[in-house]
Amino acid sequence: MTNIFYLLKLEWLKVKSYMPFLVLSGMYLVLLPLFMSMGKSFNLPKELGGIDAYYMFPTIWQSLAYVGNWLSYFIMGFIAVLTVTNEFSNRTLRQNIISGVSRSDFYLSKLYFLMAVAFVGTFYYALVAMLFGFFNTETIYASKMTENIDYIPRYFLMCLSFMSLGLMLGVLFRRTGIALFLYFAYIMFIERIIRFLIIGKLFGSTAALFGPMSATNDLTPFPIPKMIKGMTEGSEMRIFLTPTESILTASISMVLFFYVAYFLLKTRDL
Amino acid sequence: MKILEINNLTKRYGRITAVNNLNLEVEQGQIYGILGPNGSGKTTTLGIVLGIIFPDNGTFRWFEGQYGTGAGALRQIGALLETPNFYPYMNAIQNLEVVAHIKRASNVDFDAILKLVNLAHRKDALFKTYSLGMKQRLAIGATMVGDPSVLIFDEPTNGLDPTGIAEVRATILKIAEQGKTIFMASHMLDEVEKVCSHVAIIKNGVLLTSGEVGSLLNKEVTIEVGAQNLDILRGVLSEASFLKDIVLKPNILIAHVKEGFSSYDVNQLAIEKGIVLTHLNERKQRLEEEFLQITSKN
Repeated sequence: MTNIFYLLKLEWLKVKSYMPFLVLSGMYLVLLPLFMSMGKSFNLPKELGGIDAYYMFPTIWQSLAYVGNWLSYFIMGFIAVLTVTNEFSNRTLRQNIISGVSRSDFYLSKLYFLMAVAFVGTFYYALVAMLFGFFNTETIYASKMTENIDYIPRYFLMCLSFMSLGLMLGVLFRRTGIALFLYFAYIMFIERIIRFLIIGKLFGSTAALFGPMSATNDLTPFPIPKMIKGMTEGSEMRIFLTPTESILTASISMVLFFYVAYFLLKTRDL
Repeated sequence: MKILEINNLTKRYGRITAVNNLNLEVEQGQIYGILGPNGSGKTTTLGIVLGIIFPDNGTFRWFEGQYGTGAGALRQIGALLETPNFYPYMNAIQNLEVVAHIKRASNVDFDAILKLVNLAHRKDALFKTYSLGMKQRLAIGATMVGDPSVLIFDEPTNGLDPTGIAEVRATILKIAEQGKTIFMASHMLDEVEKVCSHVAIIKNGVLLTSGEVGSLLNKEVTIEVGAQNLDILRGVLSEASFLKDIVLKPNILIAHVKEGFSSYDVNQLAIEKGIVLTHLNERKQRLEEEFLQITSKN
C-alpha cells in the first residue's frame, strides 16, 4: 500500500506542471457537463420519449455515460499515450531506471496513475449525473435514482480499457505522434474494418461485435428508449453486445493490453 | 569493499559485439576511468550495469550484493549516462525533486547542490531553456542527490566549452575529495589522466589493459641529455648498466633507462666522468602514447 502512494506521488511530481495533462484534464471537467447540456437543444419527437427523458433518473446515467464515452475515448486515451511517450522522448524513462526505479515499479506507477485518472473521471461522471438528475427529475424515487447505478463501474472499466490500449501503443511505438495516430485510427477505423470485413465475413455478424474497443464502447451504449427497443427486438440483427458480454470482452482485452505493455517495459533495452 | 564487479560481460547488436567478455573490478575510493575511442563499448557497459540494457552473457554485482542487483543498488549510486535527461517543462528544483523522490532521499539541500554546479541563479528557469553546459551541470548535480557514495559519469565533459570542461573536472575532483568512488567513461586521455586514479582501456568491447594510472604512466622513463661533445657522452653512457638504449638526435641524446632509475643516475655518472651536461630532461611516457600504442596494435 505504501508503494502505491509512493508511486502515485512520483507520477504526481511529473504531471503537476505538465501542460498537456492539465489541459486535457480541464477539457474533461468542462466538456462533460457542457456537451450534456448542449443536447437539450435537440428537438426529439414526442414519440421517441422527448429529449427531457434523457436528463432524468434513471436514463441520465446512460446518456451522460454515452457523452463521457466519446470524451474518454479522446481524452483518457490521449493521457495514457502521453504519460509514457513523454518519458521515452525525454529519455526520462532511462533516467528513472538509472536513478533507481525498478522496471516493474515504473510500470506500476503508470498503471496506478491511469487507475487514479479513471477513478477521478468516473467520480466526476457520477457527480455530474447526480446533479443533472436532481435538477431535471420532477419526482425523485430512490429506486429510479439507483436503477442504472451499475453504469458507474462500467464507466470506470470503459476509461481504463481505453487507457490500456493507449498505454500499450505508447510503450510499443515510443513516439507520441505514431502512438496517438494509431490509437485514434485503431478505434475509429482499423478495428471496424477488421470486425466487419474479416471477422464478420468469416464468423458471422455476431462474432464481429466482439472487438476490444467496440466492446468498450458497448459498455456505455447510446440509451435507446424502451419503446424503440421494443421495435427492434425480435429482429435477428444485433447492434450491441449485452452488458455481460461487453464487460467480459473489454476486461479480457484490457488485461491483455496492460500485460503487453508490462512485458515490453520489462524485457526491452531502453 | 568491491563497489562493482563485472564478470565476462558480453553484449551483441546483430553482428557487432559491443562488449566482449569484459571483466572489471572497481574498489571503494577509486576514481576509475574507462578509456576508449568512440564506439568502443563504454556506454554499453555502463548501460548494462545501470539496468537499462540487458547483457547477452555475463554478470555484474554492486556493493558485493549488499543492496540486491537492481533498483535497490542503483538508489545508492548517482549516475549520468550519455545525455542529461530531465523533464523539459520543469525547473531545476522540480527535476531534482523527482530524483530525490526516486532515491527516497529526504531533506535534500537542493540549493547547495545547485550552488556546487553553479546553477543557483537559474534554479527557477525551465530545463528546456538551459544551454547544453547548464543541462550537463544539472545532470552532475542530480547525481549528488541523496549523497550517494558512488558516482558514475559517462563523458561528463562532452559538448562543453573549455570553461565548462574545466568547471566539470574541478567539480568531479571536488567530489572525489569527499572519498566517493567515481566510475567514469571517457574518450579523452587527457581527462582520465587528470582525473582518474585507475584506468581500463577498452577497444571494440575488449579490455586491453587496466591498472593504476600512475603505473601505466611510469612504465618507461625517457631522458633527454645533452653535452658539448655528444660522442663522448654517448660513449660514457653506453657503458652504463642502467640504460636500455640510447638514440642520437640532433643536439641531444635520448636515453631509455631501466625501471627504478632516473635522471639522477645519468647526471651522477656524467659528474663522475667529468662531463658537464648542457641539457637534462626527464620525460615520462605519457598515457596517450601508451594508449595509441595499445590501440594501434590491436
